[in-house]
Amino acid sequence: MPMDRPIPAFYCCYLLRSTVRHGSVYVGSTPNPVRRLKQHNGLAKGGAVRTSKKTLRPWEMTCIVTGFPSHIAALQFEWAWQNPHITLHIAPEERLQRATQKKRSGQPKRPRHSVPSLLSNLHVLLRSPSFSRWPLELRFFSADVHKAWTKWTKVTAESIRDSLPVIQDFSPVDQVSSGDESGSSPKNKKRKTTHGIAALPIDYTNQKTHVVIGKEIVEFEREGSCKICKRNLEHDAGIYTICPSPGCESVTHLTCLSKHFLRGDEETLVPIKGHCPSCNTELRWVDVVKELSLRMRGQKEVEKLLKVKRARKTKGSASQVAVESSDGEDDEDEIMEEFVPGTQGMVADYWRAIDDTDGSDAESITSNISLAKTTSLHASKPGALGTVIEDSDWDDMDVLD
Amino acid sequence: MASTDILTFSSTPPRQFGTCNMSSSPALPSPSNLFMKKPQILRTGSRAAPIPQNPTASFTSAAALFQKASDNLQGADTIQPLTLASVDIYDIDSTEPTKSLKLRTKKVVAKKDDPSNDKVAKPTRKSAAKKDEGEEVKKPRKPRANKSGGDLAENGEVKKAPRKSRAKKVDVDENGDVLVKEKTVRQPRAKKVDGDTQTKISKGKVTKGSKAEAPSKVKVKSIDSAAESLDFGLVEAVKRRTAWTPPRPTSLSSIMPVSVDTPDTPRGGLGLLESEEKTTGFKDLLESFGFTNSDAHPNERKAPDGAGTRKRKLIELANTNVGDAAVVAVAPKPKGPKKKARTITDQATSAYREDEADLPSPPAAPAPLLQYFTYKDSANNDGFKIPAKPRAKSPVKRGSKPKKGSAQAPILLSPESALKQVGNQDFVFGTSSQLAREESPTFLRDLHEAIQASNQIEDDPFSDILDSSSPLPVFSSRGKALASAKRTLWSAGARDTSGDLLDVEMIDMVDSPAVARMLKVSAMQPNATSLPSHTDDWLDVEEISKSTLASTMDQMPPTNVGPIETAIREELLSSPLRNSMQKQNSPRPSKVSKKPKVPGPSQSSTIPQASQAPKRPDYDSYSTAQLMKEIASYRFKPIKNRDQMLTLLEKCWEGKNRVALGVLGTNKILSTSPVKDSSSAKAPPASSQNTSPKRPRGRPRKDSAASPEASPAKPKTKAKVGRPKKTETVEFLEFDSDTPLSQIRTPKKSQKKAKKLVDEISDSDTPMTPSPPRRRASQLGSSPLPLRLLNPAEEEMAETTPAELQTFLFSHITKAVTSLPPSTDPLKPNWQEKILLYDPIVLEDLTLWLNTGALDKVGWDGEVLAKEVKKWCESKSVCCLWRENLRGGSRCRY
Repeated sequence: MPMDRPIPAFYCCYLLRSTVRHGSVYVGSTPNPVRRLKQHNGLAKGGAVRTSKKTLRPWEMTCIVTGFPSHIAALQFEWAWQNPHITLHIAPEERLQRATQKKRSGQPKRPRHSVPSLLSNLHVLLRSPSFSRWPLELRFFSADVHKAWTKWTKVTAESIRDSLPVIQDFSPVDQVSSGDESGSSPKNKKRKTTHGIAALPIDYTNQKTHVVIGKEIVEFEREGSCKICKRNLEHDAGIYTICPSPGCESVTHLTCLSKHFLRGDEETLVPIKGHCPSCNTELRWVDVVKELSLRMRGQKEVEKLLKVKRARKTKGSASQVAVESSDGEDDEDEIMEEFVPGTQGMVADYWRAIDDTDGSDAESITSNISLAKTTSLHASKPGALGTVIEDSDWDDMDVLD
Repeated sequence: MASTDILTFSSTPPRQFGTCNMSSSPALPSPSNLFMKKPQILRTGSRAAPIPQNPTASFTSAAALFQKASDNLQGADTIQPLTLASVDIYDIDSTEPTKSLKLRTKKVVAKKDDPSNDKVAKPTRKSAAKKDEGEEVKKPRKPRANKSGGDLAENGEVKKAPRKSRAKKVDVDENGDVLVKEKTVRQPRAKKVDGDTQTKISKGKVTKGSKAEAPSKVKVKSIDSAAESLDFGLVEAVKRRTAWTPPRPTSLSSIMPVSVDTPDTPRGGLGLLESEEKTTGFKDLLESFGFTNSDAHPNERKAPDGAGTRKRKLIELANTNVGDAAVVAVAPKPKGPKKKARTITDQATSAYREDEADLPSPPAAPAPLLQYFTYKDSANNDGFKIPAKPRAKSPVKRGSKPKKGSAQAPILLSPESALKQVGNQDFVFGTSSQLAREESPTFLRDLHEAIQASNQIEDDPFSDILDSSSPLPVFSSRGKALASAKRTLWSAGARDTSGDLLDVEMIDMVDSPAVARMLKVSAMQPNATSLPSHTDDWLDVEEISKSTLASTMDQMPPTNVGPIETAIREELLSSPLRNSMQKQNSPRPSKVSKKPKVPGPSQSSTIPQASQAPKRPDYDSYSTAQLMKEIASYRFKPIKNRDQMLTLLEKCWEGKNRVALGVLGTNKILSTSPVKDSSSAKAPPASSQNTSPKRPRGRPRKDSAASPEASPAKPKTKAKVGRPKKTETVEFLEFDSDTPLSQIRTPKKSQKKAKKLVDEISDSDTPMTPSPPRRRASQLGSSPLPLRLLNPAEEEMAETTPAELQTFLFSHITKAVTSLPPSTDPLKPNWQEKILLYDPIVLEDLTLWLNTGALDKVGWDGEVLAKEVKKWCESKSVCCLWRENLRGGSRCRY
């Protein structure tokens, strides 16, 4: 009954668009966008019916909303995004699109989606109180889509919260689309790993240092006392958050830290970011909690994560890069850049162990998938982490509202 | 083949084999001979075996042949060749027998040809082969054959031969020749022949010594010779006999001697064969024609047969019992006393079968025959029973009797008495297996009686109650009428004098409040028929259901009859009064209102226990301010609508002055009904009632029913009712933590929509009622103050905006959540921690937690609904989910 899994390492809702016909769009969610895209494009099994039309393939992920703290949250968001005409998360007055017709089943008919409409609805959703404080992040892979977004945001009076990062992740070379995997040269591969969905960390690698720190502290029972309330923190007698900054080692009650982050805001429950009480580094709440959830519920994931880390030590770059990354506000971007050199090793462990000579992304991915099965070291696929509900299709979406 | 085999097995050769010189097929010629003769093709023409001179037209059982042979035993000469033959069989080295064998083979072949049946032929060959098979089984034979040269070699080759013989019939001839001579005896029965049996036979014969063989050989020889005139009759007789139902052992055995007698052959041989042979003669012969117990057991029958049958039996036994040499030895013994009935049919009919043991054999012969012809047994009993036996539908009563094992002495009855007896029988239909299973002889009878008794049972459990209770004259007549109306299908449509449906269970629960009202009215009316006179159709419906309700009440098992009923009555009385008050506001014929009013007090006067009601103040005369004061005294939120104030006050009064309600018949019915009224007014009380099943809802329902009519157009303000509503729901929900929270969910809508005085009224009503006491007390205590505290400003206000209320509530929830102390168990985070961890919050659980004390702690005494909690979550950007799906399923993992 209670949550049995930690915060997923990666879960995103994506907006898929046909490269052939920009008018055809699709909204879905997945913990592994690369794999999902392949499925949509027919390169892997399990694609959606809506995207199975050959004439519309290949598809591209134009933008994603990521950072969902649970798969349930992601699915709820996805449904709301797909059904802005129905969803209760959008207040009637805010509703941009209304159902004008009714389906045979009595359900209101969904208005046709387009990129602009989806973007606008996305904007609304991100502003809606239901989702506004979620630790989400919006990332665009497609320049024109991003342009549309900015245009829309300018038009709308309200804006999404400032702390919601909107990231542009275009390919440096090709501004149009950065999500496809057609490259076959190592250079291409390298290029692609620096951006796009392929570059997204879909595992817990970003949390590795934090996890390690936390693990150490807990193992040696060095909790000490809460940095905020100064009460003694008994080992295994509560939920304690640990500062991810290496060396800080400040342990606090979860609630204490939240209060600290909220800085006295009584009405808000969930903070978004704050400063570590001891080392004062800017921390995102979700990062802190992610590690905590891993510690609490994600023993398996931690094992996998650390196992991989150990195996990676041979590569050398991994841990260093990990250490250098900080859980700062924009750590996503920073990490991305830092990862460039060590990308081969760090990002998406599924690249690893395959020789660099393996050029094609697709190949490497597929072989990686097979590798995942063969080697138990491959840790970080959220799928392997036990996430049962992964991708959701538009068609068979549950009404989660 | 391997030498190892030789070694292993050679150590333990059974003695039998030893006598056989380790040859599994002593009757066979040396393997070399066999192999030489192998390529023999089907022997036809000159090579064909000559047709026997005394061919049997049909199957000739080995026993028959054996018998013949034994019959033909004449002195030593025959024996000698027999012995020779026996020697032949078992003496491998002798080559003489080959000739005789050949002769026999010819004969045998001829015999083989007789049936011209593959089955026979093959089995013979098979038997030949199988005999080898049997030897094959004993693999060591083979190696032994190899080891010890000729003998073993013969065996080995013998083994090989039969294999080939399988494939080639011709080859078998070679092997079969030797064996067939024995098998001719068994020929007709050769279906089950296998090698082992042959070995057994041979073994048996070996163990028995040559004596046994001698007669067989004699027989064979005699057959071979085919010149025995003595045999003619026998052979034919045997042949004939084989076509018949096999005779009983005794008879058969007797036949043998009989037939043998004529040729005046010494019986010694025969006698040697079967010790059990009886010399009864013709009687036995005739016995075979009758149906006797022995015939039911073929095994038995075969055993004591004469020489011929005996042989058959021997073969059978030998054939069927693999590896059981002893069986052959004991085969001749009769089966002994008839075994217990083993089949169900036997069981069923055992009683009717005269016990064989009781009958001496000589009289047994005529007995079976006589059974068919004698009227010693009553014609209608045994006479038709025996033929009735195979029928599935046989009287079970009789079927139970066979269990006893002995048929009762049948008495011949006169036809009339017999018919009567038949009528008395309890026929139970079933298959024999069903019927035969009855263990107890009286089981079926008891069952039958029970069934009859149950049919007689009055299925109206209330009929006796009706008779015993209802002291009031009002219901007496009705009660009697009801008592007569049984709860059967017919009674479902039963109607009373007024034409109303009598059957209470037909009441539509949807109308329960109306029903309750009607009940009250009807309670006041001694004559139900007077009610329909009211023109108000609203009342008409009431009346009808009233009457039915009244009957319901009567029929309800009144655990406490007296006081409860009176209380109910009083309650009912009072509500019409209320009704009357309400009706003041609506354009109703005054007579309607007055009429209930008038008999009300009169009725109340008749009810002793209701005498405590003081005079109700006429609220109508109060000024509005006074009304407000009164209402405040009852600790209700101020109500703007004067009518509603009146209603409320009346109800308060009623509640104050009402006797313990206890178990209200109507309440019981109503309480079990989760159906909500169509009118929204009923929804909130219904919701609360849903959540508090124990709570007598008669009153609240009535009240709720009353109020909507009075205030149909009341503006739906959340404030007024929201608070008191929550008050009620708090209490309700508090005690129904096990109630599915979905119910909490659903009524919420209606709650929000309809501002009900009802809840407030019911609140005030309840304090006086002792049951359920818990609720009342809590309601009493908690309702007044928080209302004031929370919104002192609103006391004089008519409404508070829903939004404000909501925000207020939300703040409380937030407070409740945040004021939790941090959990001590990392595996069980408290609510705040869960939220902080971004766990999807299960709304049901949170609601429950909030309602069970958390909100109280922070000073909110209402109850929250899950929908409100959901709104709160969404406002706080907390991911939340329902545990229950819209379809009714529920999530178990998130």
